[in-house]
Amino acid sequence: MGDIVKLKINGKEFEAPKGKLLIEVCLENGINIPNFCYYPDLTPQAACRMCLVRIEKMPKMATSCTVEVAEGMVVTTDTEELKDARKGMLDFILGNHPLDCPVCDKGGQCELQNMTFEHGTVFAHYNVKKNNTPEWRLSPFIAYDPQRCVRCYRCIRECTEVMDVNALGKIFRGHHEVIGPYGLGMDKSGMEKGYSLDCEQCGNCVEICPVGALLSVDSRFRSRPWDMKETVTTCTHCGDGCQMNLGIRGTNYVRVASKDMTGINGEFLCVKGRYGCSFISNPERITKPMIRRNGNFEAVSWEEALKFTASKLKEISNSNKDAVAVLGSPRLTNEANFTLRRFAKGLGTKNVGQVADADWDRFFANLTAPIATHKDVKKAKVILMIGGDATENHPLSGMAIRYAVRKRQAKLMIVNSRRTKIARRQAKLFLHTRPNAEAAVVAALFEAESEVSRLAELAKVKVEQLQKLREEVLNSEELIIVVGPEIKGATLEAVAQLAAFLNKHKERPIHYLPLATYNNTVGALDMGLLPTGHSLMRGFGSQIQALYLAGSNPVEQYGSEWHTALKKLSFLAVAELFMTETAKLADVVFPVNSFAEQDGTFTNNATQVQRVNRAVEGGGQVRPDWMVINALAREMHVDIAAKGSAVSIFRDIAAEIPGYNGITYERIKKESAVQTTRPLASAKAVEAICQDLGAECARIDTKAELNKTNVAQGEGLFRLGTLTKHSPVMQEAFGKTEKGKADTVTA
Amino acid sequence: MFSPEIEKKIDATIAKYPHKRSALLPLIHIAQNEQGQVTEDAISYIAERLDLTPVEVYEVVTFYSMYFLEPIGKYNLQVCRTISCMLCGAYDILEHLRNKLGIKNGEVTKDGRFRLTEVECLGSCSTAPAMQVNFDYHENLTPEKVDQILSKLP
Amino acid sequence: MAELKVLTARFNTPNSTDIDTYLKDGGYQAIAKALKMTQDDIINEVKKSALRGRGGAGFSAGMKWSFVPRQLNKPKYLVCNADESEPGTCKDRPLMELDPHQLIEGMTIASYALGANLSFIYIRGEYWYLVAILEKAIQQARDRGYLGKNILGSGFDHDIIVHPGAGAYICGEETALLNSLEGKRGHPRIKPPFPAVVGLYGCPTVVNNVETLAAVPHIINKGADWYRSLGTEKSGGSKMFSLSGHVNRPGNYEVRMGYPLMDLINVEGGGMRGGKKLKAVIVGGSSVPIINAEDSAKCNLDYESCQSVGTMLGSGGVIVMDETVDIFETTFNLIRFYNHESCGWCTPCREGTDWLMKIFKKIKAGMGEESDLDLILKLCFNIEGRSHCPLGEAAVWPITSAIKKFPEDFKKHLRKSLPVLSMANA
Ligand SMILES: Cc1cc2nc3c(=O)[nH]c(=O)nc-3n(C[C@H](O)[C@H](O)[C@H](O)COP(=O)(O)O)c2cc1C
Ligand code: SF4
Ligand code: FES
Repeated sequence: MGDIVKLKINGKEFEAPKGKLLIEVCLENGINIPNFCYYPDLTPQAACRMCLVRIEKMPKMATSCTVEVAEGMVVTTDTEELKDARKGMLDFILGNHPLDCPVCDKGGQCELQNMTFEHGTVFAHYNVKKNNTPEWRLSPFIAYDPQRCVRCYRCIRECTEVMDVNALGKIFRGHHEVIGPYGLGMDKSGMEKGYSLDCEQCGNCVEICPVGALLSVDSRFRSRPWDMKETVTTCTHCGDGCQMNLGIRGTNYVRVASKDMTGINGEFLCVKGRYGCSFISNPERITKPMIRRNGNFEAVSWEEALKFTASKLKEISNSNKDAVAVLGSPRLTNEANFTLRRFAKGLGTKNVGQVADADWDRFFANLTAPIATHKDVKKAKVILMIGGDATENHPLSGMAIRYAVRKRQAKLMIVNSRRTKIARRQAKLFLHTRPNAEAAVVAALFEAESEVSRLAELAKVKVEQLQKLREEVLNSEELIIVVGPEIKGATLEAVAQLAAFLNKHKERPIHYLPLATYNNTVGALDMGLLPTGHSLMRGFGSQIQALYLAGSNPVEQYGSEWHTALKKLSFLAVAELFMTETAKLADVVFPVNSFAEQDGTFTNNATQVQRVNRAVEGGGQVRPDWMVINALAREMHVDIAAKGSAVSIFRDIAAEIPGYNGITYERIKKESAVQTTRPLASAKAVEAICQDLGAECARIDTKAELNKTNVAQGEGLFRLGTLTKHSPVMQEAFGKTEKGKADTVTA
Repeated sequence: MFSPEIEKKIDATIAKYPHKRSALLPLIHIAQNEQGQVTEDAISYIAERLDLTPVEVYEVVTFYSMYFLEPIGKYNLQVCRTISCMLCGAYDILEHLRNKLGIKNGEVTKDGRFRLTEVECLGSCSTAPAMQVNFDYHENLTPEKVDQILSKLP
Repeated sequence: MAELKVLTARFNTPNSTDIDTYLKDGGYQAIAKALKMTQDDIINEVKKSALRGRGGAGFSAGMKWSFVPRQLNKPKYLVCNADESEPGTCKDRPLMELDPHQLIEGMTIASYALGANLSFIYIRGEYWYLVAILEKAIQQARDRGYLGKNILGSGFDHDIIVHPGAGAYICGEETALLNSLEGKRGHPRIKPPFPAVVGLYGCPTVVNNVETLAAVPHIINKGADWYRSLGTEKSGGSKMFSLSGHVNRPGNYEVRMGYPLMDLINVEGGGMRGGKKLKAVIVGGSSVPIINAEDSAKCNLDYESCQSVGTMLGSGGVIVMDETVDIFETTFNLIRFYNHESCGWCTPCREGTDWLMKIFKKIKAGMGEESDLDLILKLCFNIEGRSHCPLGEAAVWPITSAIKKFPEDFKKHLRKSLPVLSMANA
């Protein structure tokens, strides 16, 4: 690679990097080569035979999807012979194809349709009976129609190479061959026997299927591609912030897709992103403001609800400003959280923040190197991952890391107290520590050689392993440090300081990727909402009498402690999508827009600001959170310099919030994701760091045994939260399972 | 899952190869010869032994024509139907067996004693027509000879 | 009797599979001699002998060996292709059944020349009983120091693993074979890279047929010139031919390269069964074009002569058909075979063989029409030269040649175009 070669295609001179696939060179230069089994970044197959070309000095036609360009190559792609060959292939493929396009969800977006259209009427003399094969339901999410399948094997490669799941395979031989999971066709009853895809249900196989062979069950027969409106927006489920196409027909959710997306995630989505957004059309959504009168909720007008709330808050605030608390949420837009903080300022209360239990504020306060984007991670050569389970809780980050290992042979080193899948299958070096003992390993990176064996003892890892990790990290030429949400306190601060320490030792490019949990955890912090929720909660009923709580459900997430605390309040207002366990305790409930019904921005774990775009009008009387606050402030005559639209609020954010200057909606539209600029913290003295780590190490329970059980597939992915459990297909699939048990850890 | 000596055989087979996945085909043979078919238990067991997912084993099982997912029966009569045997009367042999046993290609007799399997070239072209009873070759067949062979089977 | 006994010399020796009889007959002298030669000397000797691959492709063995990058610091492998499943071919079977040590010695010499310390015999699963014979012989060779560590004090280590397949014709194709040997489905790989450079486990690998390797000890013993002189200029040595079909004495016969086809049929084969007339011959296993009686008369058993009559020597499976044979039936039999054995990887072969199969069924059922023959030829044209591996061609050559040479056999199955109802009796 690296050096450039000259080649001739159809008589014209072209230049391309040596070793690049011929088909890619052609496509990039606008020379159309039909193909099915070719797919960027997946291993070449030469199976579909659509991409045949002529190359001088080669006896037979060659598949351009497998040939690497070389100096002086002379290629023709447009002769009659080649057109005939491609037509011939289409004949073969269409031969057994059911041609049930009118009832196929793919109709209109089908590569086979387009190709047939392009090549004109093929000589379809298929004068014999087609092999009719039944459709199979492979999982609650995915159906497979063998007769439509063109055997391009994209799905299988996606499943093995990209996802590292290996749940799909080729089954049977020759013209009997089908794609499917273990057990498919094992007996006459086939899938009835209960076989199904034992996988992460990401649905990426459906995404890259060129035809309608693999289909998402939840969106089947809901809409033809052309009579549904698709809006590009940002996923609301986790900190990675994948871009998605949200398909709406009328006012109803149809599907989420990501095909041909230029966003940070390419065509990648996880089960939550792809199948967990139908909650937006759930009839259980709250559509009217409600006030609780003697025990039960009554729907009221906005005016009444606002007046009531305003009077309550005023009354309490007048006696003591700090008696009113305002809690935002890592799930709201920046615009909403920003307005909430201004509201608190206007009220003059110091009790403002968010309900969260990670220490990311301490991380960013100590950050000594820039943040890596997921694209950077894909290009990484050395990755140090401390804590976190990317596969289960940050699927895009997980995919990016796997990509680096697969394509760049990146050296992946993992420190974790649990046997995560990525650690088991991808790590070159896996330090399996005893529970909550990561501090000891981190300490070993700062401490002197002599300390290593003691610290290894403490973390219950092999000394040689810890030695190796130390060498690899200290001597790395470049490094990306990925850190998980369970890493906290001084340990997390030390990790954030590691870059500065290493660079003192030897200058090298270092980046961080914090695996922040929620879709806007980072944004909420940036907007100035510190994770003070839990400490404030302890003051409920005493110093704090009233609470305005937006977009979180602590009762379900943290249980009884919050339940009893909230009950002690003399006034609770909750802004929510659904009647959550928390909302049930409120005196007033405001119906607010979901991410799909409003404009705004989220800031993902790579500190990239991305747009949330209105894909559908909110039904009933729902309003965006920020609009509710504006109205409430007006009602209370509190001046919060209110802005009348998301875009104008963001202008204030850009002006006020460090790191956001220069970011505008226009710019985001252009670049899709804009990373904020962060001031870096100065390096602390090693002694200080070691001392703090020493304190952490002292807390390690040296009797704790290693947790030897593997992290089960779906532990995070299949766990339902407030939003996903209101998405019918997710509820159906996981509602009853152990993994699915309601919990809001990941949206 | 298997008897100690079979387990031993399996360990030895895996140990033989530079990469253990190479042991996959032999292991499926061993399991099938033990159990008279490729069972689901065998598939999960082999997958586990070779660090594969079940579908990776299943892919292979369904590719090769010598592996059977349903019971083979005591004697699997594999009759070559390909050109050299055809020229020397393989079709008559098949006809004879169909009538004699009352089963078609791929079926097993009620008593589970015989399975009739049409197979492709067995490499007995110069001694055609030929059939394999389980692993034993019988060649230069005539309907009469077939009768004798079947009657001699324990 | 022009029959020649080189590879088959020991077939009638009592318990020829035993190492003692092999040694008594001068066995394992070639390896002793080879170990004193340089690797290049051996490769050159084999090149000079004009030994060509007996598996079907007929590629120069010495040439193939010379492609292996020996300096590369990766293990090298030799794989003996004993998948013998080309219809009409059954020559490798006696070579392993009756003289396993000849093969073992040949493999050891080849491995030494290639710098391979481990080699495999990929044997078709149906030859189950041969696995025991081979493994017994291999153990004997180990015990006597012809396999294992430091062979004959030369410092060269070599061992052989016998690996049974499980029923798939395509696994005879060398790259599909390698996938199968790696515990995967037998789909052919993309070439280039060729196995000699990137083969088994991604390491340089030579795949040779049983007969090819069995000839090696003789070349080393008696020299390249001697071996070459047995055959023709371009096709050296002797070759085994599996004679099957309508002859009086079917069987495996070893004759010199260039031996006349009719002599094989009439002398070795003892003439046509029941004195019937010869109608057609498939010379090189079912995958090569069929020829009629006239061409057979002009055909000698070497690569060049076969080409001159529009067919190929292939694997040496000579299938003889007399006047009673309906070529449509034999062709139907073969397309069913290729349809059954298509691995399913690539579109033209997977869909094409299936479609062809269906049309043949239609014709067989008496529903065929003139246009169906054109359709068949069109489909064959769409497969030939466009499939991922040669099985595609292998499937269509028998069909196109049969329709060309014996059109009447197809026409007679076609349905007469339906009588047009006249208005009168309507
Ligand atoms: C469809 C197909 C089937 C083949 N079957 C066999 C076979 O059964 N035995 C064999 O030795 N070669 C077979 N070959 C040829 C092998 O690919 C390979 O050329 C040969 O084993 C090389 O050994 P040789 O050079 O000694 O002939 C087959 C090739 C194809 C395309
Ligand atoms: S031609 Fe294609 S489908 Fe046929 S055997 Fe070769 S690779 Fe498989
Ligand atoms: S794209 Fe090249 S063969 Fe399918």
